[in-house]
Amino acid sequence: MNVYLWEMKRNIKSVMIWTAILTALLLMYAAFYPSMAKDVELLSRLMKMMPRTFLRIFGLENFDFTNLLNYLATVSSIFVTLLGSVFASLLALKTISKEESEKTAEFLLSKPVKRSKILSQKLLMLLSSILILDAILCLFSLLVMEYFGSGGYDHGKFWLFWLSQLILHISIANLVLCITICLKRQENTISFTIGSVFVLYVLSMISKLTEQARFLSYFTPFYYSDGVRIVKNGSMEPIFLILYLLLNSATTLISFTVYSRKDIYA
Amino acid sequence: MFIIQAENLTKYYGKHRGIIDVSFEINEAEIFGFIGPNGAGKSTTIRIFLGLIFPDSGFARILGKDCIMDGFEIRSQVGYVPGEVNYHSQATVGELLNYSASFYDCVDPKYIDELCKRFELDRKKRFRELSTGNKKKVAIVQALLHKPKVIICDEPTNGLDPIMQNRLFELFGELKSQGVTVFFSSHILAEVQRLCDRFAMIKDGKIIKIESIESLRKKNYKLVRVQTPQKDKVERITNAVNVTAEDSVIKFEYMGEIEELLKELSRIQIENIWIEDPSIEDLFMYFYKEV
Repeated sequence: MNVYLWEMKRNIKSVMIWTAILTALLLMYAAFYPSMAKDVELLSRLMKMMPRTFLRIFGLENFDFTNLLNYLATVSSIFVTLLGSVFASLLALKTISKEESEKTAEFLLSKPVKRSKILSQKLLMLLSSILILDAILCLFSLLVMEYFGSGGYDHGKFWLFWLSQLILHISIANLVLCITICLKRQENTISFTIGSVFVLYVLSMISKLTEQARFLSYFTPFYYSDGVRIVKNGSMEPIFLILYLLLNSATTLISFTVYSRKDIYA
Repeated sequence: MFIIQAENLTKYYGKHRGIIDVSFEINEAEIFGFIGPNGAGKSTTIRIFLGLIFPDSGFARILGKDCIMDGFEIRSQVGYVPGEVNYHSQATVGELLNYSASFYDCVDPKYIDELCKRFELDRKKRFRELSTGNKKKVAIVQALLHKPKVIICDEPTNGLDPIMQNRLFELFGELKSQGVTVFFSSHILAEVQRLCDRFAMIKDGKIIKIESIESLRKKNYKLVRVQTPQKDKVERITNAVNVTAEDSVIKFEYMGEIEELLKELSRIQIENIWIEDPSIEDLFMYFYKEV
């Protein structure tokens, strides 16, 4: 576990900074809620004036703002879904790509440790860091629900929402890790992978626009874990769970296979 | 059994040449130099031995084991000093050494203390605060702390001051007497001559010569410059080749007994004299001619 502990020590500061910022955003959005809940009628009229496409993109069609959980799921699409995924991507990037570009990989790989063991421990570090972020966010979200959610809330939907976000973050980290391992050179990895994450996010938005574009939803995990839809339906479609399973199995398998035979130039 | 063995190692980076058909063997308790200019293929060869990169063909063996198949077992017996030292910049020297030690069984903390003392290493300092020489010292200590049977170094003296270079050479000497095998790359001929039992020369990815230092010494290849008004007498020195003149300074290459050279020079009216070891390029030219 020495690689895991070393990696955790190196990354814990950045995990805590990200967690603090996202928690602050959560609390900020929560603080707006009481004033919004008071003006539901005004908000509903405002929504009706907005283009239908816009509402569809953000899943705001027929949305009930009197419900705090609905509200949190909507605003979370930016700071939990997207920013949380950016956090997972950057962390995954750092663990392999940065080690190669900053040439510290040589130190680790010249030690008596199997590459599969290194990758397992790095994956464990990614998993732990994502769990820390999501657990703290979830905890604060729970406190917000208890404090502001005067009329009670659907616990099942709440936990399902957070589980879907956790799976999304883990899958994005897995995907980015796999891409960085497969890339021979690490010079442009950051822009390439972060760009890919944004493309997937936009793809999820486009897939909600028309029926014709609906097929795109199968190609982006952001749709699988679309918080607004999940809270609205109270369930996650089994097909997306299967796709998640396939995505994570494939990326993990590719990562381990490629990394065990990869030339390390750093 | 050879401790280190390269057998027809070939590695290409896409279309670019890495090394071609590299073969050599290193015996137990031998200090083996690997010399060549930048980009010749020294680091590529070393990286293959460490399992950092994979050869296109050929075999690399350490302690009789294959560097690809048995990399894990091999690396527990090997200490590696990189040419360019890049460790985690935020970590302190102490943390880096502890991390390095955590990969091995039964590391003696007293031995780490001893090494740190020997190389005057401050364990409290952060890695990013260190000079190039001090970074190199960290690389040396982390490579030796588990008492490896084989030491592989990529230009180990690069950045070290002469005092530390001396201490490193002394340490290599002591380790050799304990049966440790040292394989190191360099482009400084003088350190190879001083330290090694044998050396291999690599150029453009190919081994051009493997020779013992003893035989190199016997050849006594020197570059001589003499400031003298008697150019004709210099040209007549036995074994002097490639004689060229620049004003009153006559330059020539000498291969033979030093005593004979001094005897012949004593018969010439000399205003100034410089006798130098050849540069690595000069030596390459010499071996090229010989090959």
